[in-house]
Amino acid sequence: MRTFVLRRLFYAFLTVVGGTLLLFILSRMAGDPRVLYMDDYSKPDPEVWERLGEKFHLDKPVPVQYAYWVWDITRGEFGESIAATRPVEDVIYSRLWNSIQLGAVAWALGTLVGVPLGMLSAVKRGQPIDYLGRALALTGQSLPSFWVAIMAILVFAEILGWLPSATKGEGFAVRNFVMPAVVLGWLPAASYLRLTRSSMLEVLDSEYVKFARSKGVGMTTVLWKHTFRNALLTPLTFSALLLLGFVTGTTVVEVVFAWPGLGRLAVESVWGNDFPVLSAIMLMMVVLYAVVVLALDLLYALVDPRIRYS
Amino acid sequence: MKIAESTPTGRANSLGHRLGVVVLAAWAQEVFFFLRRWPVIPGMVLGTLVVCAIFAPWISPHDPYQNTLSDRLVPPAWTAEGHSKYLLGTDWIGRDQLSRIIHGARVSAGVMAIALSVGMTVGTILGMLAGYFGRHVDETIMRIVDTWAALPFIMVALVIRLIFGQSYGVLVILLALLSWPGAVRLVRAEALSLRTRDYVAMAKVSGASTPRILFKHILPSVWNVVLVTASLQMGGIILVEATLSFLNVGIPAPTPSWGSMTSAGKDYLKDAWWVAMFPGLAIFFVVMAGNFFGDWLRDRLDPTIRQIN
Repeated sequence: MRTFVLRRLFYAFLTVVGGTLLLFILSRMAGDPRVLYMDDYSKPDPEVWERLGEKFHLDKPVPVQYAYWVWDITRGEFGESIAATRPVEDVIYSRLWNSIQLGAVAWALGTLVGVPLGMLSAVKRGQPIDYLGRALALTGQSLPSFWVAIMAILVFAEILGWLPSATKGEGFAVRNFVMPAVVLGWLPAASYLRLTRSSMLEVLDSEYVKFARSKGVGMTTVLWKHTFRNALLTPLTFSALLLLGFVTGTTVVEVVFAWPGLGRLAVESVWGNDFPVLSAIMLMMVVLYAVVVLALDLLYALVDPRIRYS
Repeated sequence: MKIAESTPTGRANSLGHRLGVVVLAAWAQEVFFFLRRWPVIPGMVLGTLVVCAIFAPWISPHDPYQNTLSDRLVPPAWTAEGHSKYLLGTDWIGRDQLSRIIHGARVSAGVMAIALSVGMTVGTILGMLAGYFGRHVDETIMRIVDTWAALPFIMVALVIRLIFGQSYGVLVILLALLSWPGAVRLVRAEALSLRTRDYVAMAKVSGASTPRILFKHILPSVWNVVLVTASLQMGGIILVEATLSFLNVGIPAPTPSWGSMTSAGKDYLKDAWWVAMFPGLAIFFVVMAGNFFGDWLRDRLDPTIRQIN
């Protein structure tokens, strides 16, 4: 178990290093990195130019520059947002909470719909409910989420007028969450459904389930005692992969629904050439992702003893 | 007999009619099995995509860049205010939607083909190296693959877009970067089992060089895996390309692409639903067909990784 934990910690560390390294290399590939941090780089303010040169230690070798840059980040100094002319941390923290709210609601929705439907689909294999579930999953994986979002606005906001088209508003209003959360939760729900279904079927086909059945154990008991627990391990491991898709989805859905979250901030910073903000968001996502994957891996090892020793 | 009496004319009981029903039922079953066995519908959708991509300038009814300001936001032809000139209506500066969607197919298919070829080539070579040499080479390559796959792709794409601007080249590189890890993983797993086979050992004993073993003996056997990986990724790549174009990160402005067309249509939703709807439908059909086709090809070429249905 100890080697396993250490190994996973090392992987998480590697991910974070990879992320910073990539960002650093990219910013240096653009030529003089100071250009990225200037509002109007055709006529740079000499004073700011000098100050930035000093900040990035451009007179020193590149690896040393990287070290200084990482040191700045670890202390939370991302610099100043070009568009908002205030520290990047302030800009990000004001948006982070909105993203977490939306993400949590959509996540819960995806899990609560996808996993039970997947189980049902496997138990009632070949019946109408199975086909319905699989159709839902297939369309969920093929439909572009931005298009679904736009069509949802068209139907429920423009034509029917039931829900607000694009806003978060103040506080927590369920009305505002319905459309973004459903659109965002659809893809995870679809993936969960497929994963749960195939892993359920695998367990239902296994020797020990057949043995329990032939011994005379009722189907209900077999399902609850023998199948569900084992079958849910696979979807759990894949949660990490789903999360990655989630980050993508959040960005798009936030843009369509004008949701004041991190994803939209990232896209806005691309449009506004705001490199400090974008790099801070990317690093934040990298760290967040590494931590979640680590937590899920450890959780998985805790639930399934076979994993620890492989 | 009861049934026959209940029908008014009694014709349903005639031999010819009964035979007809049986033949029809058998025929329907035949068609059904055929559709289950062969990817006819996905093949047709993908075929249409390829035809549109190759012959776009000749089959599109209008010039996709030609704006006719007097024909702004004309609805599709079958609606009351539609015009037979524009089957799927026009956009906000009077460009024909159908022509733009057909040309958009060209852009999507082209970008996908190039990105997949680059990604698969790089992925296959690295996967073979990792699987064949094992040990440190394997560990290094797999660590790089895992680390890269763990980075939030959309954020990397946004950073690259900010630094290098918006162009085809950047988009192709981005999509290739997205596709290579999957190829490395599957090819590696295959190469890992191939290197212990007798024929590889024989080749080594008879003095074949390492590149020769890799390309003459390993590569032909991993070819199926590469093909399956590529076809499974088709749908995903098109979806990501559309998403990036939607976010103004993909294909630059005047060129028609399904993602950016949907994005632009968002602003005219209230008056012109067709601008956003049809490009999105095109994406949906192609991605769905790609997924089905990939699944079919996987079951066909590589039964060992077949999913339980």
